[in-house]
Amino acid sequence: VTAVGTIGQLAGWDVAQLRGGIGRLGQAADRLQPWRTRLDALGRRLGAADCWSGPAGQVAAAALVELSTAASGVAGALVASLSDLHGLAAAAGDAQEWALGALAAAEGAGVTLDDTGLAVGLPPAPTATMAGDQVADVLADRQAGQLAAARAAEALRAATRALACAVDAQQPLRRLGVVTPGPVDFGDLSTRLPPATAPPVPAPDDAGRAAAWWAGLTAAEQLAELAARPAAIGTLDGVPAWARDRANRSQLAAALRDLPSTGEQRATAEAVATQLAARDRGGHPVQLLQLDLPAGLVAVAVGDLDTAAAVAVLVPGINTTPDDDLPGFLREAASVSAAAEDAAPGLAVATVAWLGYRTPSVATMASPRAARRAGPALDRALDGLAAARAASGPGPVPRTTVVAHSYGTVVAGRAVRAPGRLAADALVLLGSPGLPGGEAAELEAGEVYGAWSPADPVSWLQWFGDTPADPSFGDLPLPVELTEWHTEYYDADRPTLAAIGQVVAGVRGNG
Amino acid sequence: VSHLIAVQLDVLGGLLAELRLLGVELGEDQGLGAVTGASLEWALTGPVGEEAALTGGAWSGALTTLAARTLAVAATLDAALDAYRTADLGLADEIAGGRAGRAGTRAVPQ
Repeated sequence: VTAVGTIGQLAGWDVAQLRGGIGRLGQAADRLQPWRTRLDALGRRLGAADCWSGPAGQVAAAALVELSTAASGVAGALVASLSDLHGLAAAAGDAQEWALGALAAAEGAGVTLDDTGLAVGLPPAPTATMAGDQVADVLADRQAGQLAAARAAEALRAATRALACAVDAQQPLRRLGVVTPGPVDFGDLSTRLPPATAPPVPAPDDAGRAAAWWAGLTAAEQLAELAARPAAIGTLDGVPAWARDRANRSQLAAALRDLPSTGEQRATAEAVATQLAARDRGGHPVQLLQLDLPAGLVAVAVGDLDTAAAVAVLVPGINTTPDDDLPGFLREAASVSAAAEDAAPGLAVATVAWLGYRTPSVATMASPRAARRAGPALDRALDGLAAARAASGPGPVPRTTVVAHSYGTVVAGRAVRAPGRLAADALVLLGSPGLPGGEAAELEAGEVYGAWSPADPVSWLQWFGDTPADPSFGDLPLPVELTEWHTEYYDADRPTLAAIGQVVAGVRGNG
Repeated sequence: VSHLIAVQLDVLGGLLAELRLLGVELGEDQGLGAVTGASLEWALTGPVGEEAALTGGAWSGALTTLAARTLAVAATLDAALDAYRTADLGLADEIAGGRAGRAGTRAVPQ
């Protein structure tokens, strides 16, 4: 008998059952990443000062980080093992196919195959005394027998590959000390984890790569990166919001400590800190998604972007600055969240007040220059939100709506024109002076809504392209009142806000 | 010792319930790994099946280890939670006893 069994055994392998089993193991491995994401989120809540402070709380949080880190190591081992199991399935399929072919050829030749795959009962070579037809028959049988033996040899070679894959599939787990179905010592497993070799922070222009990089770090490595490189992590699109929030709050604290007592950066830092403190005190979760004080860029999420089922990104128009306008802009974000929650009670909503571009002033508002820079930034930000959620596991992807107002719609149009599709399900255009992206059908979002009013001259200026005020634009109109002025689309006493909430929640339909 | 030791007992209790749930979920995957390991051996008779079954067993072992650790951490933290409650009640009793003693002292005229 060969080291991998007889040809008859190989022919009888149930490759479909093998593939099914490996598929189930793959699903278990796939579940480990979202499991770890949930564990990490739980650990952060447990370790938060408002839940459990003091030495015991810190040790408890550290225990969960250790557990998460071990889960990452096991997940890596399972993925490596799974790769070999797929190799096993392919080789086993080959082996079975060759074995069946060998048995069929042997039967046709009237021979059998022994346990080592050799043909038994081959007729002797033809002799000179045989008639021509006899010689042909004998030669045909000998050829068929040799074919059977050759196929058996291929089957055995494939089975040998399968055996090697099956053995190799154990190695990643053996390296962690796991060789049995039962539990092993957790401390022993932890000490056997491969040493941390966190890859360098990726370039900021590829949100998908950044998301994969972050998801590939262990919990301990993530915390180390946050401590070592908060400036890089805080601005890296694709990193989860909780991590960016932690990094940016750290940056904010440092800025408040180090900046001179006057100046634009100080004013912005204080405005951001005041808003975060007020909302934290009120028990309303906010996340500091972006903080670039030298550039004057800030983005704050009302709600939890990492778990929200519906996400809105508000893009403001001219003369909106963090130091002067953040309180009002955050109120608008909160109003949109509340309107969405009213439209779909129980829905988890997060709304980003996105000041990720320097809005133009009245003097420069007729120029598309600011939008040319801002469009790609908005596009990357949206890619980052989507990539961060996708990388955290196969959970539901949130519905994402861009709500752009005034010059913000010009920015949205430029985001549409940036490479790649806009990572948004819906686009809401409020008081738009025209989009460079084209008409509604060309805007890369599945749904495009518009709101404009005769009382809002900006909405029919068409400075930068087509607008929802054009009857042929092709958007789904949102309700407005005839007297609705340019800055009143988010007002609670106007009908537009509730409709925006329905869009964000995904319950507005096509009317 | 930290200047601030604060525990939101009910919040912590809720989180520990979630942690236990995570352990249970992983335990279910561990069971699936064990069953699948056996099915690999049935699918591939001979030495290849035996090695495949060992692989499935190792998967199950790894998941068992994580599940067991998760439940162990949850149990330890549950015990800590109980200890906080017990300690607080004990302190309350001690303080109440002390106040009663002082009150009794004051009640005795000199």
